[in-house]
Amino acid sequence: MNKDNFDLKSLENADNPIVEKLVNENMLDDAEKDRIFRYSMKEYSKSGKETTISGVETYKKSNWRKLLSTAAVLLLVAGLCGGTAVMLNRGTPVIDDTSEEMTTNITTENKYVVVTSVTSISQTTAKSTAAKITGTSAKSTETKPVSTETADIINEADTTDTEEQDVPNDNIQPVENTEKTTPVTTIKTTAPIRTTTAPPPTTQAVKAETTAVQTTAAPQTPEVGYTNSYLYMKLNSLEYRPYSCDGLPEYVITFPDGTTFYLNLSSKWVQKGDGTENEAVLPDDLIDWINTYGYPTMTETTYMDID
Amino acid sequence: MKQDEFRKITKKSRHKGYRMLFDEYCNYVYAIVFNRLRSCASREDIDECVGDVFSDVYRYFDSDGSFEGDMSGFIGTVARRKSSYYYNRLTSGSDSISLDDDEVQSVLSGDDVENEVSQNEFQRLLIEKISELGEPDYTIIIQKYYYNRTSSEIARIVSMTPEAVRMRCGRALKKLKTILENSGMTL
Repeated sequence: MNKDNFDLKSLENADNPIVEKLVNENMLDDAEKDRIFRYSMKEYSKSGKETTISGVETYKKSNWRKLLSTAAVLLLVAGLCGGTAVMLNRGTPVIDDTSEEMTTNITTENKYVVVTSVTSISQTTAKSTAAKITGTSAKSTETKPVSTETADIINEADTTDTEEQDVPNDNIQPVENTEKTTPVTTIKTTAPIRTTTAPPPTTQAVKAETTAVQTTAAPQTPEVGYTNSYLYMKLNSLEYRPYSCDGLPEYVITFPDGTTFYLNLSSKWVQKGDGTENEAVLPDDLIDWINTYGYPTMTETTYMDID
Repeated sequence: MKQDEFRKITKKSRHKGYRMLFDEYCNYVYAIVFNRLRSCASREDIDECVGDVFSDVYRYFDSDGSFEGDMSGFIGTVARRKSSYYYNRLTSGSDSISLDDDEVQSVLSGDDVENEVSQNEFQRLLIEKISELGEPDYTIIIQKYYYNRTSSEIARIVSMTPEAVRMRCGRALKKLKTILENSGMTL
């Protein structure tokens, strides 16, 4: 038993008389006494509070989830309404003008056909399908759903078209169909040129499913003022020369500024009505445009037989 | 301190009465708590336990509790119960074994009443032999090898320098060993 290993552990758990002998009056210094006393008073002061239970805490359901859900629903509804409004107000699509040549390709797929009837024509009685019509005046264009009767017309048009390919006609130019199209146009000649007065041209372009109408150099559904402006611009831009062509003018156009043009669509020429009688060659695209859309201020000239 | 005397003082000033009670019995309570928790608790735990003992005593007197006899007996009882509570709390955990476990048979203590009596007799004889050293060697040996205090702390208690405490501690330990050997006692 050396000095380091000496331990009075055997005095643990002693009885009270022995413990009393282990007490020393100076065992704890003042600082240690104060610290223990403060701790005892602290425990004493808070002891009564620990067992006091009062009041009932009301359960509050958090409202932030409800508000967040409501905001999300409102945002979704607003987005749907806004998107719908934008889609409805988007308007008709703009048709690209990609070709200098004014062509009208009418294509259908089973549901719709376009029937064009011509009530005033020059010299041809051709029935053509999907044809570029020259030397004729298009009077009306109608779009109708395909029905049994229409199918018969289409068949008839196919047959007629085949037959008339043998007949030379400079005024009728077949249209090159690059896609699978159904012949849809029928042309009816109802009166000779001199006895027929052309009704005001009307154009109805009907947007059909999978039907594409391609035009160049002019909008598809021009308004009257725009038609006059476009036509005025095109006619003025032609190269007029002081020579005279054969034939008589078929139509007269008088623009609001008083400018007058005399047109002969069959012979493809136009003459200014300013007294100079200069004439220019009407290009085919302008003729097609005129046949397609018409012109409100254009009147057909009538000639009375002297006899 | 008598109970009536304590109540008279607390009627005038409760804080003053509690302070007098604490100064009167703090060493006694500390000795009891230390004796029970010496092997398992730190000094901070022992101080906390002493504070809890006195807070319980204050609470008892605050609730107009009364008892027969000396206050030291009551305070000693509260100190033992509180120290036992601390002992159970500090020793619970990995060191505890359930009574339902099979391992409990292997850790059964061999102590019985006879051994406890002999243990108490041994403790009494040991204290008696240490007392033969006289003061201040008795206090130095107890504070050094029972309370595990440093030489500086012991020097404050016995009003000596730490060097003198260390010198007297060495001499007192040799003397105690001789006494114990002559008495046939071994630690």
